[in-house]
Amino acid sequence: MSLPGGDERRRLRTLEEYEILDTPPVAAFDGLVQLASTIAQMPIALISVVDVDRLWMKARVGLEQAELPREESLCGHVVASAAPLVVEDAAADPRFADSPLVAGPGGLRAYAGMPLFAHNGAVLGTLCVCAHSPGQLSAHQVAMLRLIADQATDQLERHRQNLRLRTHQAFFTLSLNLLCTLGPDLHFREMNPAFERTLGFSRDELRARPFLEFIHPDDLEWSEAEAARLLAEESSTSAFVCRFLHRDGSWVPLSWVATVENQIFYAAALDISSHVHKEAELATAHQRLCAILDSTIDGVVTLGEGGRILGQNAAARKLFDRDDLLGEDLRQHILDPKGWGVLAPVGVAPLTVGARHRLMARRRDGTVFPIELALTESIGEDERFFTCVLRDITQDRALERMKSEFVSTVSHELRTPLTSIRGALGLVASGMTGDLPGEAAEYVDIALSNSQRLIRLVNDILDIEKMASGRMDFTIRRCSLSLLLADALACNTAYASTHGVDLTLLEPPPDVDVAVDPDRFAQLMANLISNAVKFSPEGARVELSAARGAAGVHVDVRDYGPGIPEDFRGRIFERFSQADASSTREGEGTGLGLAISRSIVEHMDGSIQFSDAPGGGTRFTFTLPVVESPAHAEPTRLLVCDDDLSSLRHLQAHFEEERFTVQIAATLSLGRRLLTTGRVDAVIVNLMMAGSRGAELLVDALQPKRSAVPDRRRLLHVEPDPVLQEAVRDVLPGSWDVATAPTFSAARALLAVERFDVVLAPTLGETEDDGLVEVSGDARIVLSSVRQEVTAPGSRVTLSLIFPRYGDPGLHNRIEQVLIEATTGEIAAAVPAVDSEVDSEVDSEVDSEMDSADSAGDSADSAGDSADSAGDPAEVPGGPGVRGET
Amino acid sequence: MKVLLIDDDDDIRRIGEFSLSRVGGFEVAAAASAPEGITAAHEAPPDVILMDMMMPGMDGLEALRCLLESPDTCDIPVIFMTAKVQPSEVRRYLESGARGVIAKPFDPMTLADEVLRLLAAATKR
Repeated sequence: MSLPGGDERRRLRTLEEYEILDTPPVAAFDGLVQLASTIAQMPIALISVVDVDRLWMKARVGLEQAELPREESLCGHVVASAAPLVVEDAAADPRFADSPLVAGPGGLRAYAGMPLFAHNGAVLGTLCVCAHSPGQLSAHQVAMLRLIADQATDQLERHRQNLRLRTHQAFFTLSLNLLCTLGPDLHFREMNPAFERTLGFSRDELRARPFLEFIHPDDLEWSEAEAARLLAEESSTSAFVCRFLHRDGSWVPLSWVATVENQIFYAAALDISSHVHKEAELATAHQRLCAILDSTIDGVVTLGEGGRILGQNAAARKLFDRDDLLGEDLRQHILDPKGWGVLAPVGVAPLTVGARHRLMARRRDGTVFPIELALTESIGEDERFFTCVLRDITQDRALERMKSEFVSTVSHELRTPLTSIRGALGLVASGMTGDLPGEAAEYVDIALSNSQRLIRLVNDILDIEKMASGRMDFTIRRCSLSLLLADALACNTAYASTHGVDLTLLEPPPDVDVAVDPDRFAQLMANLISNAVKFSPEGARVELSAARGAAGVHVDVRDYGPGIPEDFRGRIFERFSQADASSTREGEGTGLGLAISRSIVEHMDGSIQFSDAPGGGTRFTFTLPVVESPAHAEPTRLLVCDDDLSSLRHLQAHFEEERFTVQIAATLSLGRRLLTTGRVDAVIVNLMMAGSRGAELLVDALQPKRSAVPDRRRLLHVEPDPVLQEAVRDVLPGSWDVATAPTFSAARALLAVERFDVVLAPTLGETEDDGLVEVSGDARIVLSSVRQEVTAPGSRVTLSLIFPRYGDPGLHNRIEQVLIEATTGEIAAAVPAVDSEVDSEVDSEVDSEMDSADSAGDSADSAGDSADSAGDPAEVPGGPGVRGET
Repeated sequence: MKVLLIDDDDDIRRIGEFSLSRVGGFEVAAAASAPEGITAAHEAPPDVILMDMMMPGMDGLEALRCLLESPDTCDIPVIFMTAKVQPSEVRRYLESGARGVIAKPFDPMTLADEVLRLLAAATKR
């Protein structure tokens, strides 16, 4: 019989606490069992402790075994019931008759057991008496047994208390912490051996002098004050560090925690020498590091997650002309939205980390300067942080500009005489200036072809320089590869055939799109093809082919020439590298073609390599990423015009099925309006419509649109500071063409000859703005100001932009938004008008002929109509006074 | 066809004149600077002006602006002759009002054809 699980576990835990099982006999317990046996007049008396599955006898008389199985015992029953048990004859009691301890000859018959309780009420064991023959105990005897059991319980409790005391003493003795008590007179009373180990003083030496005499004089005053405070405010605690005298005369830094109870100080102290030492070492290391950082030329800051500055060096402060950057957001000092992108969720975009970025930054006084910024990420103990190296690249920029100017000047200076040489030779060689004797004509041809070669060289050098400095224009567009290759074939076939080479496209290229600058792609193909042709024997073929691969699409240019000499392969893509001149058919290369080709391919995110073609010859292969057709690709907008409504509907259904966006017009005038107000990519028109006047619509379609949204928007930025010019240019997306004018007069000159959608100008002076307004034509003027408030002097000056708040991460959006608002007020108004006209006009086809006849003469009228019908564009939301274009 | 050729380089001017007149059969007037060219254009308006871009003093773009500002000369098509330039620059010239751009160095044997081709293309537009 045992207890339910939870109670039994608690009982066993309590038993462990007493550490009594399997301990040697103790006289006090032995005496108690003797007494119990005598009082009960039974031969057997036990103090048993009940373990998991056994009875263990702490004291016993009349029994040989030191332990018995728990299940079979009557004591187990006492423990389980936590109540006394008195049995006259166990053999007659059905609960115990079957127990092997009871059954059979010599079994137990009479039994009396009292539970022994622990301090927490758990039953640890029993005090019991028993006999081999049945017997009855008097009430007096049972009461006495109870008393003896109480005594045994007391003994057990005393045993436990002793155990605890010993444990506490061990703590006290073995503790590495210095533990002591002090009297209210601040003399030591008790202290542990750690004192002597740490401070060298013996117990008596410490007790001989007041505590304060051991304290460093510099720490004395406040130590004394702290002691007085503790005495006054009992049970408050104090934690402090002070230097304590060592027996050898040195000072040991101790970290104290103390409290007072009943006017006695209880104090614990820890020797923190090693800690203090480490701290000093760390401080020295930190100083050295700071010295290194402060003497570096580049600005260095560390950033926490979110971009806050955690650390800085002197160069960083100097860079921004600040006394302290700690805690600030680095983005406040970077005015380039690209920079916010780089820094914004510092580290969230792993691409930005590890790369170098060229950004614009701002000093305290507001001046703007270019920086190069490199970010690296570090994982600290429990957080990521970023090290940001910042370099002022004003000088580098100036040098780059000088270099670029130098190269373009030189190339111009070279080109001017080359133009004359090439021109003069061309005229002489052509015979225009009179016939030349045979040999002279030959030499003039040599001069002519070499002057042409020199021109190519100058062009290539300029290309190389532009590529290297990143100033080469790349207008990346999505293009069909097969169209690009067809162009390449068409453009180079003539050249190939002049060399007796047959240029062919092996099979239809895969139907994929690539993102390339078509002009540069053509240059690349021309380079590779002319290279292949140059090394081809006469009558050979140069083959173009393309195939899709894992990395994108591969384009091959293959020749059947002699192959590339072994010693040349390693430097084939280097500048001015040319294989042995004797192997070319003529000395017409510049040695720059392949270097340029590689540069072009890499600018278009591709790669280029060469290999020996099977069967002889060389194959150059470049690989470009394929532009997958996005699901949301803008469909082609088609305008279908026909006055036969059924065919109109039929065509609409057909082309919509083919995923075109289809607009239909049953009259010429509607067709015209849709053409002038909406965006239309292609027009299908029945030439016989409206009395065979359908062709008029085609004429309109070919006219440049007057009022449709221009594909590209043009901004004139009036700003003398090239850095600010660049800042604005950088924030605007590629659909903006930005022209700059350093002065108002330059702006006026530009406005006189060029059309702009928007003029962005600093707040105008009283005298300057009038002229600008006069000449700005249709363009809206957007004012930028360094102040909050902007006065708009003229009605044409419509929107304003507070410029210097670069710290605002939405700035670039705002600039574009303001500029777009300035250009699109009318369009926003016109679009709904068009929609409503589609319905009305298609449905009422009768009067449409009249209408189209009216407006056939001037397509501009219809554009004006639709804008008018939308109401006054000045009321369009998007800013007060956005002026509609009419 | 009357052509006004404006270029500060004497040799190029001479070759250009030769090419345009002898190869192309044009009637050619020449000017050695932008102001001189503008004056010439006012005195005897040509059918087309062929003008160098980089000239000391007033460059081609500035000269174009002057020509466009004057009602007497604003209708004369202007073609720039300039060193190999980036597409963006060509676009800028065209947006400034030029009818076309001919890359230098040019081939004297085809210069006149090129002028005619550009004029025809510009008219079509």
